[in-house]
Amino acid sequence: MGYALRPPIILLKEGTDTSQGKAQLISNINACEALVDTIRTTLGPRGMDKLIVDGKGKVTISNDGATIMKLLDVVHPAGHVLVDIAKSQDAEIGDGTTSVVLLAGAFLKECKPFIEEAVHPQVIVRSFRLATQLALNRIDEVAVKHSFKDPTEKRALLEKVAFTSMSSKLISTHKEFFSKLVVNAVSVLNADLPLDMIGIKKVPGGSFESSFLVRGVAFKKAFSYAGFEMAPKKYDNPLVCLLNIELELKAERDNAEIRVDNVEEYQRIVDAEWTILYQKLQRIVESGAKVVLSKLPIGDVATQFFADRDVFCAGRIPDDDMRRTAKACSGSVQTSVGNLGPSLGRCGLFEEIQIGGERFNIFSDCPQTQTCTLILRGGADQFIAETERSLHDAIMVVRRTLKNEAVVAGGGAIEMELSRYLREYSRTVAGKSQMLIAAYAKALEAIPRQLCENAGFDSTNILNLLRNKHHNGGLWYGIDITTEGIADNYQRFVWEPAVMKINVLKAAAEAACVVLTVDETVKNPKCQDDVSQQAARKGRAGGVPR
Amino acid sequence: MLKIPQVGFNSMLKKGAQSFSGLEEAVLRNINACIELTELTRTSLGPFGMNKIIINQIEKLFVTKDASTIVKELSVEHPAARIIVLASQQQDREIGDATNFVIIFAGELLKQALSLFQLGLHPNDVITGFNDACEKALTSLGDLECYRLKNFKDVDEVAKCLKTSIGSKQYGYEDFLARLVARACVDVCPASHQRFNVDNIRVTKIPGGSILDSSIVNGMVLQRAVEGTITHVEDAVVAVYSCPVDISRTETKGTVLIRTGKELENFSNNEEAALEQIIREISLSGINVVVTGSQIGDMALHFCEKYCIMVVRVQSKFDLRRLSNAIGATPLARLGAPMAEEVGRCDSIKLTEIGDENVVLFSQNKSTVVSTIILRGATSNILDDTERAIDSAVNTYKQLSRDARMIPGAAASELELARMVNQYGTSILGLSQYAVKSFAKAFEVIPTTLAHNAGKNSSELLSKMHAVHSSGSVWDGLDVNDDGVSLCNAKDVGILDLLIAKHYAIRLATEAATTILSIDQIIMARKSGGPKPRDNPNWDED
Repeated sequence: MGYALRPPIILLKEGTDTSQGKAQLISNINACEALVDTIRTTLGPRGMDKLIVDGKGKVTISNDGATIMKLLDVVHPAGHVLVDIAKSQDAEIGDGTTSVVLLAGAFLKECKPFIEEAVHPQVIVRSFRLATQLALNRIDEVAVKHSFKDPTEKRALLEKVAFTSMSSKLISTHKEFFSKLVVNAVSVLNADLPLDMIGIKKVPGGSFESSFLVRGVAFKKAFSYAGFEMAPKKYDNPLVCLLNIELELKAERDNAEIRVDNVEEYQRIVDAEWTILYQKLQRIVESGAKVVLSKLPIGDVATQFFADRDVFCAGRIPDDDMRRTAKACSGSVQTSVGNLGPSLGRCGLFEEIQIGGERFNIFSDCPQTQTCTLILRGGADQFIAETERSLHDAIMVVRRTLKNEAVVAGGGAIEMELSRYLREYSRTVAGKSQMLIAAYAKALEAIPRQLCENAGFDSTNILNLLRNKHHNGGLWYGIDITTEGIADNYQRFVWEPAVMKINVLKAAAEAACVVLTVDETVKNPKCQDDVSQQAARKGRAGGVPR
Repeated sequence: MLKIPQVGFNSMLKKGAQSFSGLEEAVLRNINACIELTELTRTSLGPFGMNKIIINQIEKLFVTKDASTIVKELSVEHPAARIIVLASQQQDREIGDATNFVIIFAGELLKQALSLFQLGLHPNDVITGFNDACEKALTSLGDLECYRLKNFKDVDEVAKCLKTSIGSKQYGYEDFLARLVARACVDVCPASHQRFNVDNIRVTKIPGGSILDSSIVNGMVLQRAVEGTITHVEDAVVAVYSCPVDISRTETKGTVLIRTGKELENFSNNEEAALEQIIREISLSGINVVVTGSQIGDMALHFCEKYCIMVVRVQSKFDLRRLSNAIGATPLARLGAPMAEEVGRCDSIKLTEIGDENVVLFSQNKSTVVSTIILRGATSNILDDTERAIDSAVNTYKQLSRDARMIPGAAASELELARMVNQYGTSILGLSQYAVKSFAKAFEVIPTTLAHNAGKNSSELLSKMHAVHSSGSVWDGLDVNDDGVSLCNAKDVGILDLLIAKHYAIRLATEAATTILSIDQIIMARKSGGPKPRDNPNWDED
């Protein structure tokens, strides 16, 4: 066989897709830009919402970057990086998810001309890392650190932060109302600020303003057996008994077998089953508990027994509600009725009330509660769901601020300041990194520019005004969304926690650097494809190499 | 003309088999396939190397420039190219670093062999020459030693030695990560450093924050919450159970026979009392934390809460073993109060939230057997890739404990080897001289590739390096940070490679290349029918 007839070399599996080089890098950047374009319009107080219908036909309306990115189901490998940073921002801070994606996109966009002009990506990466470090130092320098001893001042700070977070969300029209609600909720928690100690219950119907906070626990009335109606629905200062026992006639053990040889013994066995149950019930009642909750079902015998003795009971309570109740009443969940006394909790007021179309059990006025429940009201289901996401973001932001009290001004102010700082720094360095740090500075302007564009303002004009102000020392000047101009956003109380901005910068820079350093994508065929392709290959002209 | 029935080689084989033989068909084909493979990984060499995105068969995404991961996930089909892949994996197992060197160097050797064949050399001449040159290179490697790690307990000195390994994978974070890994290694390194175990450095990946937020814990980190409500114990005395903490059950199917009503009434009470008895005994023996490798029953948890015992579940039995090792406990297979020597001790066990994940930290104040690096990063890909960089750094420390000699990096030692082998080549007689000189030339691929990846002029670099090396400054290598083509003293700027890693890499690459050259015929049987056995993606890697 001659040299020319040599069959081609098959190095990798058939169906493997490889692409390499600069073109690959540019195409990755383009993919990321396309992804950023879909969510850029959600940024800021005038941002629009997205309606997403997923594969199962479920409708979600959202303004939250992380939620949208998750639902988009991105398959492009480079685009995945952006989804990941949105998720990690959500996990770490809870808010600023749109900003992080937008910023990463802006970094990549600014890099593109350099890549096209054959600057080595690693040179860009190095300059970007340097620029990020400088920007972070600058945030540390300018962030205003509050360490309020006075609780009312601290509250005011927290409310402002929640206020800013919510102003870009669906519930922005009710932000005064909700920011108070959120701060109240967070201030109930203990020093660790566990997020799962804030319950959020959604009840369709009513208006936003009829939402309220329960300093304690509230949950939907559990399924109940006959006899429940007779039980009282309101107690002052009751003892609360929390159980993890099934209060029903049941087999004591799966593999137990009973062998009896006479009728009397049979009757005694039947009696014994009842006795076991009654003993348990009797012990609970004797402990003085007025409210009995159990994770497992409470049967009709038990329900009637309790109702006769002026005790409220509810079974099949979800685990997280149970844990919150335990925290609120400072009791503990028991798996045995052996020694109930010390494990009982106490709350100020228990009642069952009607909220919308649902009955709710509410434990309030607990003496040392470290948990609370938000009852959200509103029109449509999607509306309440989005409200819940917005509140989650606001709660997270308030928590972060409590842990780290430094704040910066939002509304594009901090980005403009960093941009100015880096641009001035870039003039002091020589070589390629001068251009690259300047590009980084320009990319930071993407946030204020997008804020303007979403609000329908003339972004070029406003950015010019801002650049001028920042150059002349107007540290906290940002976009004033109400007057279509610029204003000192620190004075206007558009405050955001500094940790949020720090994380946004870090995550966006890291993501951009990862995308920049990829020069090749190799995609192996999936397992199933592989098999079918092999079959196809075999079917074709047996054995002749391709 | 006489008609002879066609009795070719192929007719002896089953239908569908392919065979290729001879220099052009077999050897050259193999060489081309291997060169194609090396072109793929070449751009990933060095600090300025580029990442690759690889999506493997089970749709898992990798973003990495770690050559062994790249070739492993590529699922290379070509039989000759597989030999190179196997060589690099061998290097990964043996040393855990310098895998890309193996692939690139083997590929370059084959490329050099190609031109030797065109000169008319027989493969055997080439193979002998290569082997000869390899021996020479390995012996002269010892002369290149420029540094030797003296104190295995000095974080600064260790960090200096680990920096290069990380710098080639996570450029920009090398100082931070090298210190982190050095601290972890030094903390767990036993008095005789030969017994250092890489398994004692754990990495826990938690998305969020950035790499610079990573930290280190003297002890273990479990990525799950505790079972009960007790979340913090100081001066913990720990009992580790590999069995479920619950009412004991029989494995054999049996039934409990109840004859009278009295028996039924007492049955569950007795069971409860028995369990309480066990937990009380555990508590009385001073235990305040129970770790189980299996389930914990509701009732058992209830009593643990009652006696103020913290309960932690560990799902992986490997983690359970490591944890036992870290706190010095013996895992018990039966529920009951442990003996004094079976008890583990830990200075602080605490549930905390990192990012939005709940983790349990088992930390020791002073000396520890296991050290955990809590790695933070914006995306899971970054985390995975950084973990690989950390792995190779930990392996470097392990290798240092075997052989503490270091040679200059930044392509300085490769160029010096090229010079030495070339000199040797001129001194010998016979046809293998050509092969030895080609072997020497193959070393130049490393400086060339480094320069190429950093966007510099490689021929300018080579001439410059040859010039300074022949004038005696043999530790001068490429300075990637400078804009032009300039050199730096690798020893002074702290770019140090492991001698032992280079040693194995050169040997493995030469062996792979000579193996491929010695093949003169390929016979491929037809693939047998039936689908391939499905890979189990949930395979436990330990």
